[in-house]
Amino acid sequence: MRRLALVPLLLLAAPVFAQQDPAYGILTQAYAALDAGNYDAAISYFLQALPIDRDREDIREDLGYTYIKDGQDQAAMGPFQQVMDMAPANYQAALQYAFLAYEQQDNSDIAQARNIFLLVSQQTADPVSQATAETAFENVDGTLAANIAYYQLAVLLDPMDYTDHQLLADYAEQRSELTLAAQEFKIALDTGFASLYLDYARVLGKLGDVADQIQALESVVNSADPYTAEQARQQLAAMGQLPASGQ
Amino acid sequence: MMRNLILISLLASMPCVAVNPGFAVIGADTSSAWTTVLNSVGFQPAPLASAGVVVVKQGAACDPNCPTAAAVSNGLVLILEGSSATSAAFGFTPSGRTAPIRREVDERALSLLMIWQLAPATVPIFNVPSGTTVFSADYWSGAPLLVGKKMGSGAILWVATAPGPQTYDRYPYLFQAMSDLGVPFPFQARKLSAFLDYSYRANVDLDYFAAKWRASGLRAIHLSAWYFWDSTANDAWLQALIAACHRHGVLVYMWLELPHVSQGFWNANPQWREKNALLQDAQVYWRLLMNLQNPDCVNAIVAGLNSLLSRANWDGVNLAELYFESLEGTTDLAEFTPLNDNIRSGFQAQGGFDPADLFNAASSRYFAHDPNDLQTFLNYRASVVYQMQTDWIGRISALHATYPALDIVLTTVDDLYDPTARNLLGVDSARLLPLLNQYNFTFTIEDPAELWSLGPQRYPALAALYAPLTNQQNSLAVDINVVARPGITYPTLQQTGLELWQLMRLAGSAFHGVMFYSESSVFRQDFSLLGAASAQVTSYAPAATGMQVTAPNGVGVNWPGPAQVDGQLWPVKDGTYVWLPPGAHTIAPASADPAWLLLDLNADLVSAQVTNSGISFAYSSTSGAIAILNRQPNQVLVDGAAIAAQAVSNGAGGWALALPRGAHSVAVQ
Repeated sequence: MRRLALVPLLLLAAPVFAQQDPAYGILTQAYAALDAGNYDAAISYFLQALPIDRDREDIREDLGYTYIKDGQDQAAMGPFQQVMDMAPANYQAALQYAFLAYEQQDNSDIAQARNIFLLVSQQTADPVSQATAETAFENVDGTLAANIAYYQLAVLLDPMDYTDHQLLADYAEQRSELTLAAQEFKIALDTGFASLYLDYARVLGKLGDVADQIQALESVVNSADPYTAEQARQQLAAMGQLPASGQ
Repeated sequence: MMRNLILISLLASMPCVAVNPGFAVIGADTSSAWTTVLNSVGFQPAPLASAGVVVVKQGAACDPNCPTAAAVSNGLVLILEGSSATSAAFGFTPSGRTAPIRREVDERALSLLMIWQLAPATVPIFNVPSGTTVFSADYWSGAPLLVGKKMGSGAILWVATAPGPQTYDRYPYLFQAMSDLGVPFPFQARKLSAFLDYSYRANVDLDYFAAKWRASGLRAIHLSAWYFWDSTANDAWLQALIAACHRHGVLVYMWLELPHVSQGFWNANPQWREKNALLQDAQVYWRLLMNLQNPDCVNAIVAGLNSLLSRANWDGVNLAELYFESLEGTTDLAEFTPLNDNIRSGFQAQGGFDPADLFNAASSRYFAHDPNDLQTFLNYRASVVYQMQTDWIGRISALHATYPALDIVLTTVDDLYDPTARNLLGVDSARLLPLLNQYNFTFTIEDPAELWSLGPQRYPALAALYAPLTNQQNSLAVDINVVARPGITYPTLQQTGLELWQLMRLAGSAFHGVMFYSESSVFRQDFSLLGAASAQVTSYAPAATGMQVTAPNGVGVNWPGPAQVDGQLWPVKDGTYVWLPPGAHTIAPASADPAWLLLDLNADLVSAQVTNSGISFAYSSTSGAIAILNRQPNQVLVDGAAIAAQAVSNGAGGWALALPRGAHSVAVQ
């Protein structure tokens, strides 16, 4: 909550900031709402303040931290992602984003978190951030490596266990071992679960194999699993492979 | 696609008015679809003339009783279905175009896949009047599906079609839209329990969350204990959470997942790790299993449990999923347990062979060759589970000497509706249920994954299987897993909106207690309506100046002003709800509130009255109880004796008072 701790100072400096900051009025309301524990209102005010001054990293960070206080971790990722894009050397925001991403339990998010932990541990000059990133990377990477080893042995002992192939693929994707992930997802396709084609297609996309990615998506666009079919349709439409009407 | 949606948050700030709980349907309510939908948040059937909510079905003729704009402005909530003369009168007219509807998208959950069953359904595209809010639309065509408008003190909601075949598979957020239009829900209960995973809430505002949980109908949260097992590093958070929860009237239970203890316990004690059928250290899904047949391991766990109990003011312990979790049985040997040394030697002595041979393809006892030997081991395994559960209930019960208010819950997956659980996990409920006569605990039946797709009606069916096996009906509860389900379910993979309300309502009607997994998995947009959905009202009738309500477990009735209950000035109320004890009661207006109010009570309210110097009330509770008063009490008498407990301000105008477990009468002044 580094940014939120600044609130009282901002309020004390009101006359100066009021003249210079076009977002001052709305931000004052945001911080007052924050102070009252009215997070819905604070978030609304921060969102209104963003377009007034698009270059402000601090508004985005405070919005992100407010989402966290409100338990909206997934929503908090957006503002921190924007801060990372605006200020690649803001390693504090990068770490916050990585911790949030790791909590999402999504293969791509976990892979991204692992990569950010590694990057920050290598690039930051701040010893505290470096130690945090290093520890986080070791914890994430060590666990993933151990899980990959565990399930590699499990599929060796029981090659017909497709659940374990899928778990191995998940861990491999999370550790950015994409060739292994694609190979194991492909084996797991034999379970007949259409949704695995979406996982397989996603990994193929990360490997740059667009033709096979499209083929994997097309193979389930009319699946009896309507959730998989709908996601395939949506992704193909976004890739220009399907009319915008989705039909 | 959804480009024209107005920000719903702007509507959320509209003032609320009290709602008339009666509803009526104009036109044939096929399969009682609208009745089921409206019942799910407590609305009750009523004659058209006295209904506060009126549904006009597609094509229904209603002359001369058609709801008018004036009636809506005066407080009527009007739901219009598709095309009708009434819909047209309110400005909803067919455009002449149609769209195949496959996927509904709602502004409050843009990325949530909501798939219509029997899709695509070809639906006329309607023109909607100005000043309305399009709450949901077709993802691909943008055709409006759920539209609403606030009118005076009432509201209109228009839906493109009838509810779907299951009654909850279209417009899942109908009631959130109604709430956005300022319509409150008639009844409220606060008896739900929820699992809480620390990792999802480590950085939130605890006071804010505790207040939100209570307002949303939670009695207790069951907090993942394993994050606090290995060190005191998170104790400040733990103590802050429990203090915040108690200030706002929420109880906190220690949620254990034995044979998993904690990451640190697993790391520090490799010699006590459980083994799977491949004789690897057993990690099953996220759980790191320990050998609960090893006495040294058990002693170490008991020491850890005592340490954790002593470090925070827990209200109870939940022994959850205390068995050998392997949902795929012997088809996944990496997850099949237990094959620790104690089990192997114990079974060898009894069964005459090493159970590890069952999973050795080179052995003559390999399970694929002869299922009889495997079944012998599975029976032994079930008896081990029974012994573990019995032992641990006994151990926790023995702690009452030190922690007299400690409540106990055993959460175990169903094996009566789905008997395969016995071989898969070793569960044997029929054998375990008689323990309810020996120990005081709640037997919570976890909804097995195999039944998740069967719809809300499974809960009465589930309860009917358990009820005959015990005479302790008030000790039975059900645990609803609110998570993305395997397989194909409509309209969403995870229960949300209308389906969730129906689940809560039917689970609450079938079982004394309802808990759910989890506090963080329930979608944000669903949370505030949980209390309305879990309220159980068996009859409602308008009275001359108020209403008559019958509720088997007690209920909160939406009633913003001063109230008399059964002819007496009533002191159990907050600004929105009057709280009634179980039974039939009549509520009528009063001229003013009493000076002392019991704003909230986390216990079963038995009776209450205004006294010359304050209030008195009686309650019962299987755990410690919490009362929230509107004033700081000078004196509190429990069963006639003064208690030393001090009320604590909750920062929101209430004073939280801790009260003892059991059945007691309380006088406050």
